[in-house]
Amino acid sequence: MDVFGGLLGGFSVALTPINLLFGFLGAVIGTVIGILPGLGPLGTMALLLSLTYGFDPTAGMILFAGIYFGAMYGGSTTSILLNIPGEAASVVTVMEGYQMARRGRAGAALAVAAIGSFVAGTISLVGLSFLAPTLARAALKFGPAEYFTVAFVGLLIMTRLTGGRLTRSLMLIALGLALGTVGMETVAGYMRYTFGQPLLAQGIDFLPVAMGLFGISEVLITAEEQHQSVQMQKVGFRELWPTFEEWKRSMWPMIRGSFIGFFVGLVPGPSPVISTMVSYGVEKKLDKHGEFGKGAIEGVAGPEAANNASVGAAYVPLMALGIPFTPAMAVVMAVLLIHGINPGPLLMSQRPDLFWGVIASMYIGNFMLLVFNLPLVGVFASIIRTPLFVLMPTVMLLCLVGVYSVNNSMLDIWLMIGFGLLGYFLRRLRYDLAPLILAMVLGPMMERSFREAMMISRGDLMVFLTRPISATILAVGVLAMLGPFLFDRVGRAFARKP
Amino acid sequence: MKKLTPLLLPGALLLAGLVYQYMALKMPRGGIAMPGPGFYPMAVGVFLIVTALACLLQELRNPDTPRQAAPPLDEATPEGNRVGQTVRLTALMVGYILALKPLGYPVAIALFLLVATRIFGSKNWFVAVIFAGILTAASYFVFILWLKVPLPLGILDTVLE
Amino acid sequence: MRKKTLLVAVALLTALFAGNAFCAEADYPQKPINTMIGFSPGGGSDVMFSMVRPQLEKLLKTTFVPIYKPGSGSDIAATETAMAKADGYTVFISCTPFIPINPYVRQTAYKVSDLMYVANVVTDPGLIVVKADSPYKTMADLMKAAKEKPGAVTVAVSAAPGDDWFAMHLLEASSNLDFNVVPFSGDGPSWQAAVAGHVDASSNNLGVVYPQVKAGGLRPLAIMAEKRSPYLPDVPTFKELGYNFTSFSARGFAMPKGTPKAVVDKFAAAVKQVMDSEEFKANANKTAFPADYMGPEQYTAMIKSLDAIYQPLWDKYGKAAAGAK
Repeated sequence: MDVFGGLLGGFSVALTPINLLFGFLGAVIGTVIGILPGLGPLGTMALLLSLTYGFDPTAGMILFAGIYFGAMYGGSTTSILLNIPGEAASVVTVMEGYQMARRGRAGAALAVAAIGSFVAGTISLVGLSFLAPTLARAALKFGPAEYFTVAFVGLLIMTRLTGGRLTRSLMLIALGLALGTVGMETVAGYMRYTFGQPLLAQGIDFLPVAMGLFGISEVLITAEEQHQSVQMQKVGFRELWPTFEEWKRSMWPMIRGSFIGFFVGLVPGPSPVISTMVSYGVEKKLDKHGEFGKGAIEGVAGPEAANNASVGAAYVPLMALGIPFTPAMAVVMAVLLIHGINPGPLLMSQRPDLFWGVIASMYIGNFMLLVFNLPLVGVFASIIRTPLFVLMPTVMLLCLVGVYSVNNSMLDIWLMIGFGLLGYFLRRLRYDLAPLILAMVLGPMMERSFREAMMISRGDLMVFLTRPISATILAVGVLAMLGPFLFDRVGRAFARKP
Repeated sequence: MKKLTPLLLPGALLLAGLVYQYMALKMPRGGIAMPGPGFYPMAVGVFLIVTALACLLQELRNPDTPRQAAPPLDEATPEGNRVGQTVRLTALMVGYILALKPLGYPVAIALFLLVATRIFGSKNWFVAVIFAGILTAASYFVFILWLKVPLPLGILDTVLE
Repeated sequence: MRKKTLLVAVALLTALFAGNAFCAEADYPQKPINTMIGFSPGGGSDVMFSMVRPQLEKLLKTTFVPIYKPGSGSDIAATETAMAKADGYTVFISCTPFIPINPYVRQTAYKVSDLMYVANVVTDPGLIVVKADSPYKTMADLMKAAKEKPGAVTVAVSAAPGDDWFAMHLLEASSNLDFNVVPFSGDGPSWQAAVAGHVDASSNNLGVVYPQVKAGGLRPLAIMAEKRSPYLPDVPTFKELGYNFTSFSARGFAMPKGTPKAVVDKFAAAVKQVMDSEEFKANANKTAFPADYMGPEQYTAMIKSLDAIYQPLWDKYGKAAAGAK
């Protein structure tokens, strides 16, 4: 009951013109930086942090929530249209989304991504409003041992994520893990595989690799094939929207993806990435159309919803307990800190106006983003109609500047080009790229949590099996891997018997 | 030559894996109770060597059976023509990086766009110049003035500040 | 038309160069100041910077452009600062113990003396915290547990070598006890592990954990300062308890070596003026921001003095942690 009362109070705060304006501003800024590859929500919020000092803290929080949600809406645009995943959680969207765009269904993919984001945002906000304290305490049960098993099971799932040969994806996973060890290791500051380059000390960043492997390699391949008609299919404006059939097919994936994203995303570390992989895996398993790998709409709807739901989930530990599990949440927390507000379990009772105001404004922001993004679908989808000599140089510019804007590092541009060539060769040889980059992201988390778990337990490997949550995750992972295989065997055995 | 290409990658990765493992073995390993910096790389190295070897063997015994090709590639274009484009574009990007510090972002990107537009088949210089100009100005406003990305301004440093 | 533009440009250039040559120091600052931050957004250096930035911008009539170069314990940002033009338009958020200990611990591309230490802003004392419902009610409880089962009490620290890590070894040295010191990746993950109960305690800093202490998630056991903190008057110091050491993490501004003295003094004076303002004090009070202004001379001396404390500790404990025997 007091949740409704709180929300009502919250809406009265959020609906004041000034807060509405900040919500709108945040949504616009967020969408724009989400679309531009490079500078993500984290960098933008850090840039604007001192600006929020001049506002009321509620307004600052609303602005940042708008940016954060908006960036997730915008992020799917480059993934689908240009084959550039802006963050690790978008890698899965690229797999089906870009194939849809190539088939002339870019508009459908974008619209489904936007609606999926809205559905997921709403579901995760409901979760945030009603269950925040309970869920946050549950998330705390995850320690280093659990992070390790989550990442490890994630790697297991990944081998089955894409088609093609198992040995090939295993080899690329190994390469990704190896690339993830470059840089200063976090426990003792030991330099690994940096070859004396101080700039490599911070490791190989996600974006140069993602932009290179996916974006630059796509540009190179397009350049080689420009004289043929295999370019993007041209579409009429009327075909920009999803058909009824496509709506029907994406509805359940959206809902499933939202729940997967919200619950898996509550746990920090490797979880948001893995939630998109789990959603993709589930949809692939349930698929009846045999379109996966060639642009299945379910493969966009599910993971995109999962990705967005994890954004709402990230706010849960921050709002309920004052614990910022991710760097982006730490910046959001700083908005409160510079105003002398201590976020924590008492925030809800001490500053209900702020707590509920921010949550209410997220509902409004989410709705605003939908209204704001749907008309843009048409605009963006028609980007593909621009002539190649305009589109491709623009994409290259976005990559060249975007990759620099993350760490202001020249080395990152070199890396992007290097990985662009690698991606080009891999694709020519028909390798799937997703395992490589996802392993690179998950590897460092896996190592860190393994070492922390081992140091805490003084070298007892059994912790992974004796801690109930960790053991459950492992069991689920092994079942998911062996399950289909076993069922198949058992089924065949039964079929043979009579 | 064509037959060798699929072997190239597992082969190269096998070599890389051996070098990687050699370097990992030189790192302090620690024990299981306090895994050192070399502990995890050692495991990764073994994994890389084993998978690369497996891939190599499989590739040798039964060459590529594409179940799902990532992007549908067209084999019709003459090889030389295709690779030429990739070499040209790579050289162009390298040129941009080298020019970025001395010439500054606006000049470097304008030149880059001008050439890139030509590579992607624009026949008209006039269009290329207009396009490069507009995009240079737009990106300057968005990235440098608005998002405050500290791109080098090079020769224009004092004028634009 | 073109001629005119060219003339204007030439005129502008001359004016700028002339300006640089003659009155750069008096007119400082004339353009935005790049601020090199060696840690991720939202970390301690970022919070410190955000606390002074708005007023500092107003006072100096300029803007600060934060440039995040996280990694390698701020080495990357420090290296870039050391290589930057010494004109006052590049400042670095310098954090102890990384400056001065990093160049001692590993090969870095800069020396401690490549930087000028302009003004210290915050000196955050170390603090040991446990979960609110932990069985360890006092520091004595925790020490007793460590005595009964040597090496079994797990204490999270932010990194090795970080101030929390040094602090735990100072405690071990002064008590002859052995803890299981677990380095996490940052002070945030360190206290979060304590709140969740994955470790027994976290060796952290007052300014970092104060919100959680205030909110009732963490209980402070003892503080590593000379005197009790006005924010936590009930928490004893380690010295009171008979362990003779203090520990802190200090953050301030540094500039490249060779920056004109007039620029350094002007910047330091501005920082002091901001920190003396009522507005700043009120805010600092609310978040337990342990403000501690030091001018150039004092700050430089403090950085120097840390070498004597940290170097022997690193030789004794650190080389083992790095696995280098």
